[in-house]
Amino acid sequence: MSEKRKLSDELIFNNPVFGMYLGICSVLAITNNINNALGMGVSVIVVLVLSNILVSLVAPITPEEIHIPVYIIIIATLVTVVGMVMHAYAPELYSALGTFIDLIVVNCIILGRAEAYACKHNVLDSLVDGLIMGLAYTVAVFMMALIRQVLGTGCLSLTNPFNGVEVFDLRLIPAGFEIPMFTSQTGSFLTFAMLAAWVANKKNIAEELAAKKEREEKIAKAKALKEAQAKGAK
Amino acid sequence: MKKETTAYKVVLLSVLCAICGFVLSFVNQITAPKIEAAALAQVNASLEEIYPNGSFEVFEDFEDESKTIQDAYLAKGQGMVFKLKVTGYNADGFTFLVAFNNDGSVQGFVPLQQNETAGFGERCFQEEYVNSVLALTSNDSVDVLSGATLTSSAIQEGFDAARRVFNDFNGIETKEVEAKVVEAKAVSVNLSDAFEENGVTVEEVSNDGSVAVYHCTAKGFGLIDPNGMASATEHDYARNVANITVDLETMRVSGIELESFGDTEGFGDKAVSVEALASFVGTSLEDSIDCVAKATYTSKSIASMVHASLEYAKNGGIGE
Repeated sequence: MSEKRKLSDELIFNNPVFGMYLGICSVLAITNNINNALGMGVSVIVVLVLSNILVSLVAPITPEEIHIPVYIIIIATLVTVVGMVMHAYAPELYSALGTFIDLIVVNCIILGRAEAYACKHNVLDSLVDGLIMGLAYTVAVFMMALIRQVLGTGCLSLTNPFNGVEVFDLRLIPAGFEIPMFTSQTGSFLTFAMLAAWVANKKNIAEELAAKKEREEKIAKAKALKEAQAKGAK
Repeated sequence: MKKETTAYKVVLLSVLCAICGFVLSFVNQITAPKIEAAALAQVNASLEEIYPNGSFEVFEDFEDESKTIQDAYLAKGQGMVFKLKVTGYNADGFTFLVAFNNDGSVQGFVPLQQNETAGFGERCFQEEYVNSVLALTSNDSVDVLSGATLTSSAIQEGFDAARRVFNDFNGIETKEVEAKVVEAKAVSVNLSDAFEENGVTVEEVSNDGSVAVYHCTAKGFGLIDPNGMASATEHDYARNVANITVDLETMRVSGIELESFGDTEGFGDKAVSVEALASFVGTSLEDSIDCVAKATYTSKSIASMVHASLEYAKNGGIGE
């Protein structure tokens, strides 16, 4: 690999959803339960990884003037394939996610990574980038769905999308103490704002620490230089 | 060919589109039968209910101007089944199946998913109305049910679209029929029923030795805040309040007085008229009463309070 990337940084600080505010439309719409979130997350990972690989392969032979149509054709084909496969093998998940599957085509993260990364890097790096960005998106939608489902319904449940069998169904908040607002659009915006603020706060603290460390290193270097000069003068 | 030339760009885009088209048609070939099978499996149980042990295949060769027919199935050697989606009172719409035998008679009318108002539109899916549909042929139209006009009109729209397609397929001339409006029969409730949906409470009991007076409240039809309907809880409903007097010797209602009315003016208030309330006087837990037409919910609300008072009296709860 040509560059080292710290996974935790990519998942939290450079998270495309909470760090760069990309692909928010689907995040706000489909995160009312973890089933939908995981289904959407896996779909985006598949599309992102494959589109990054293909874009990285065709980039060298693509003229600058038509690179956007070329990338869009690739992404649209992949999304349609994912939609058809999901419709055939996980019909319940397909109807739950509805039009948001098709809208992955215009998800800023996909085209953004093709344009900003995959077209300039080799296949392996692009694959890793697609995987990391897809995982970061999945973490974002999963966190949103987890908070909204638990606070909004008091329960946490997961169903196997391929056969409709319930994997688990836990009641975490006693009946009557849940906050139904979290299952609505208001709850979606509120949860998004809280998580985005948390990521921004973490990012600011990390930047402050890095700046402080840099300053201390500079001071230490300057001191060492001064001491060396003083010794030389003696 | 140089990358900058127009010809190169045209060829590249054409080749890319051709490859993508090929990939999509290949995936479609694999997934299409599964998608069709999954759609069929979803309604299969209901299809089996109409034609037990029938052999079904999807029928696509039809035109439907009303856009109400979602799917059509041929039951081999038996008839045709239509899956219809129409919009009644609830804006989300409802889906149901209608089946015609090859001789044109209606074989089935099965709701698949509906959320019409309980006590109103929901009556279109109850035995009485279902039986009236089952007695029809492909040259009849369903009746519009008074008090459930929107729901039954929607069923009529879907039914007419289905019979048109069925008649075209079987070479039968479709006759335009004017729909009849039928008055619904009054719903009858037993006073011994549980009335759980009314959330009745007896708040105060007093007695003078011969009669006990029960101060009761019960959930009505109306919401205090209609905007909160999606997440409405027990406390969001307007409540009706009444004092029920029970004769402790005969264990029958000897008087009923409405203290507060929380339901829809013009509809629910028919159930709390002097005559309607008087119909409860003399009743016991063994009796049943007819709900007032178009005020079924409020009638049940009053009946639930009478039920609770009689139950209280029966169990020795006669106050001081």
